[in-house]
Amino acid sequence: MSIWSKSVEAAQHNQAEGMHTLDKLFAVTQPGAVYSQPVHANGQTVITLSEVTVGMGFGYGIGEGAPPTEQENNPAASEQNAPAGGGGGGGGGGGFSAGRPVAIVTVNADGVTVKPVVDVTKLSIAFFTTFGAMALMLARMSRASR
Amino acid sequence: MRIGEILQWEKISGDPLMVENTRLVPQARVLSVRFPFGGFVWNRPVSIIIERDGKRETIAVPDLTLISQIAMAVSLILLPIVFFVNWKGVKK
Repeated sequence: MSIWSKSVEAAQHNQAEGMHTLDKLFAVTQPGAVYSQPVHANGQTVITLSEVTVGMGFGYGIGEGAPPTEQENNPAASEQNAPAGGGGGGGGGGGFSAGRPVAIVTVNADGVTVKPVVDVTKLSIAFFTTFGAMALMLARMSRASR
Repeated sequence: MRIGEILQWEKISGDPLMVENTRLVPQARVLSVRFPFGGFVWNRPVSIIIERDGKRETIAVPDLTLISQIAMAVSLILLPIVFFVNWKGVKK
């Protein structure tokens, strides 16, 4: 098998793997991804609710190139064979996932209660980022208006 | 809301859970974007349907963290505008 054919086959295999991984990503769209299994303790049942965010992307490419003079001098080279000049391929991918608790559902003899969970760390980061940006913006506006 | 296979923004119900004599149906809101070479999913709980003693009730799940973040983002946009308008008024 020529190098070119191997590159094409590898690229097709990578594409299939990428699509398979992408299908797994979309398994997160089910409600079961954000609701945990019930936990029984002390006469009550607790279910935790979370927010889930997942993203991913991938790409690949293959290419060929040959100097025009070499192709003209080598008419026997067909599309199946490796290009006279050279070829290459590459690929890459990346992703992220994040989860955050949102609330806790408690089921007991008295009924069902939903207790929200506040993510203090996330709020602190958002607070400092927001008001830092606001202070910077106001300072620039004051300087510009003078 | 669905736009073909690319965009999905809808409320979906999960499999019911039986806990003692209570039947719980979880509901979540999903935003998913699917491209040939990538995708993004945001899934969050929004409510729970409770069926108990013949009664059916829907309880909303408040996301206090998200509400606080949105409030801060809105204040980031609005407060400088208010300041700018007042500043212009003072200058006049």
